[in-house]
Amino acid sequence: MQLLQLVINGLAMGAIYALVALGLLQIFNAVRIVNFGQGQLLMVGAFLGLSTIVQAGLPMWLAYPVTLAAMAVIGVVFMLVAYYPVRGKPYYVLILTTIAMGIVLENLALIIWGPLPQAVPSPFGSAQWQFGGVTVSLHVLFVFAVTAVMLLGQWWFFNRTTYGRMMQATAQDMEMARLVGVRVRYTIAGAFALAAVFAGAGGLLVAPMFLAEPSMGGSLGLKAYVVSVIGGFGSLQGAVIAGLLLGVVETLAAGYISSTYRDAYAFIIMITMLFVMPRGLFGEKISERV
Amino acid sequence: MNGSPVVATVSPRERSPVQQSRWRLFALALGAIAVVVLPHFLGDSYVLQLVNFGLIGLIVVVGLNYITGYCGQINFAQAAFYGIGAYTTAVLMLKGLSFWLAMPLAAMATGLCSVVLGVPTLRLRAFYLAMATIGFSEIVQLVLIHWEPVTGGTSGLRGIPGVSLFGFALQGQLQHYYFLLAWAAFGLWLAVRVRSTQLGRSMLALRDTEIAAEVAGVNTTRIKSIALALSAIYAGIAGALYVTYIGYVSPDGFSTGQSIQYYTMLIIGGTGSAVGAVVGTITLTALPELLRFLREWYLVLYGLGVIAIIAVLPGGLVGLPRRLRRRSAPTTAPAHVSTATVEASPAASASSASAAEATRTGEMILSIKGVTQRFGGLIALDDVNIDVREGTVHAVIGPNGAGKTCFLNVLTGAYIPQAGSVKLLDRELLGLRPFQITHLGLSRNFQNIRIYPSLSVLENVMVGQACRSSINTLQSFLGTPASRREERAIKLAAREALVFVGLSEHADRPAESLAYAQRRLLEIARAIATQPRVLLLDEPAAGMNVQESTELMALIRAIRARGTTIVLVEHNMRLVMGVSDRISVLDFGKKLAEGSKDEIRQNPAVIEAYLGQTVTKDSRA
Repeated sequence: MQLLQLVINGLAMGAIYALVALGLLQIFNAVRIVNFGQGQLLMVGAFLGLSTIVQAGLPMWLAYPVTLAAMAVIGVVFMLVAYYPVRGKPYYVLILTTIAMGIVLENLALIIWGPLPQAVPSPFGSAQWQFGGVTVSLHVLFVFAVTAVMLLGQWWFFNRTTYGRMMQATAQDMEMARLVGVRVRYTIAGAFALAAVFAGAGGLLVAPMFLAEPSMGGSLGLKAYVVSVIGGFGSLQGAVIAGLLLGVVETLAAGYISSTYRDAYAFIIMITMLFVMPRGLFGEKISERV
Repeated sequence: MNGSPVVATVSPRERSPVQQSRWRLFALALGAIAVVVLPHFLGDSYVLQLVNFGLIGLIVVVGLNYITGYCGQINFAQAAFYGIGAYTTAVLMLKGLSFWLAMPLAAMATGLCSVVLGVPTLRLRAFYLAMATIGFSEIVQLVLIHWEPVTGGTSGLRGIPGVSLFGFALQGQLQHYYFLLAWAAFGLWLAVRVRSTQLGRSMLALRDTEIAAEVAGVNTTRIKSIALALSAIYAGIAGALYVTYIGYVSPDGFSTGQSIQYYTMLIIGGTGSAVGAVVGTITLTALPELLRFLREWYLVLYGLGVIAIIAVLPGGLVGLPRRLRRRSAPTTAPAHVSTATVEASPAASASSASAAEATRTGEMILSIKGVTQRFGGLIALDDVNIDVREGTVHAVIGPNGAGKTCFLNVLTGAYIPQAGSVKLLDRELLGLRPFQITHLGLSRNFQNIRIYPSLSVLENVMVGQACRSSINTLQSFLGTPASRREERAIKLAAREALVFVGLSEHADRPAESLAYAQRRLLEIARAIATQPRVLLLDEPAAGMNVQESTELMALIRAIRARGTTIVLVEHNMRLVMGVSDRISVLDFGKKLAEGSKDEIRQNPAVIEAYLGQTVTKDSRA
């Protein structure tokens, strides 16, 4: 029974990892950069939840859309500050601007909301279901549902909509996309807005489970990168499956082996993966053009 | 841009190289005196301590410059390497080892870690090293905190003895300052020096364009591994200096966040030259102290400042003076000289002699059998058989999308086909990496030009000599007499190649200042410098005007006259018909026909598929 409970807790954790990773891939699949500020965007989402739900006292059905709309705007600002002015620079320089933007967001949050962890309620309160000895909170089921919807939505978006295909085209060859009439700037802005909305949703969902605090983004963001590598960078289903797997493995290993090194398991798995199966579970589609 | 009538104008404001080097020498001397004398006035103060930490940090960042600045690879574990060096030294010295024994062991330990980490990931795309180093760094941090019996946990290790030099124990901030200064200066000197060795040029070349570095014969994985190891060794030595300087060590300061801080120092200061590391380290060490009054806003502005510097100063802070100077000078793009000079090159004169010989039938040198390359459902090459005879110019022509460039990519190891065999004399080439194929005697240019913009014209060609080098990395790094001799030989051979293609007068210019047609010639010179038995030319005449392509024709004949076999992929029929001894025609991945010029001209299938179109196009031109 304890095993089953641990697996369920692990899946809940894993769904969160997957959710953050999906936001990461949204940007990666549109502009081929890894956004090292994705975790901090999630943190902002959590705090916007705090402001709308707790501080402004808005009802949930209003607070959620308001937060997500604000996140879309923040996503575009993120892109205008940290990506657009430096586009076309070598990747080893670009990577630093998203990190710097993460630092900016984290310290702005520290100034605005303070350093203390704060509770944000779930739309489902603390409702729980009991099956035998196993407890599942309604909120966790909500997290699963949102992750599933986002996975399907993102897949549909990239493969079935013109706008999504335009993003993929932009990722593969920006100049060529521009030549065939893609409005590259808007497409990229859209990708960042969507990624920020994903991150915001993640923040709204994570905050009721772990409290909102300015430093929460760093470790969650890191796990999202790990999950993306294990899943095969760029692959949506890979990220979700790797996320769930990692959540379960981490929780079980912490429960049965040692909780001291809880955070190390993810990195050990990732490095092992890089050694034996560098392209990840679901491979990587892109190769260098000659 | 190409063919534009812009004439060379060397701006009068630019200082001549001699003047520049004199200025640099003066500045260097002034700096050296300041560095030696100034600390005397600081005494045993807080500032001097800060300076000492800055010197240690400088060693870490100058080390990082090898893998990140020179090679363009992302290393987010530099602080972890630093930590491993610090803890290894601490543990060994607490066991009674002397610094002079513990420090090399610590450097070896970090170097070893980097090899284990780098070998599997450096083969992959750049992003994977970033991830692997983050993972490694997080694991190291956890181990430092939790492996209490050895590391002392969060409280760390205390009572680490100091350094003694020839029996004298170092005492006081000032003595430590000179000790640390010596190390930093030595580390910096090596890092500056390596820039003008084959090792350093290979690093910059692979940073600029990895595939072109491979094709010039550089084993890019090996060079990257060496660079990562050098980075780690620097960090390891810095760690040893750190623990003996302050006498204790704890897990703080070795986190991923700290690695990112070092990374930021380097990028902000400027990559590509070790001086950037100095500027970046000084700036980001002093800045938090100077901007203390900003308090909680400091990190917000810091983040925005980093982005601003990256956006505005591509070369980092170190490029700021040059940028200001350029702004005040007229902004005409640096010199696009006409290529008319090529006419006078020996290539042109050598050509007339060889042009007379009509058909050649040498020994078979390159044999392609049954090569099939698929991309998903698309068949790019379908059971292609082509034999190339030594000393001939063998053209491969065909309409767009016929698989010509794909064919070259298979020959040079960029693609590995599903079936077939490619033999250079008796050696099978399939499955080898591009640099190995280059070493065996196959070289190429690229249809979309790939020169190394950060190197000079001469250095570009010198990279091509990599595969003729018999000097090992350590010799090259330390600058032994043998390596200096070889350096001279490489330079001579590279100059010869430049003379041959007619670019010799541009040898010392930055490669990115060359005009379009000149870049093509530079690529050919680089390929020739690898001394290939077979030279593959991928649309060398693309974008050239009639005169330029006529000169190219002479050049190709001259290369053949040297005994080099040429495989020519080209659309320009005038060029193909002018120089080819034999022609293969590809269409939709299949070989449609093969034969002499006349046979191809009269082949009805070819005329229908291809030549018919081109003849009209050609008559228009």
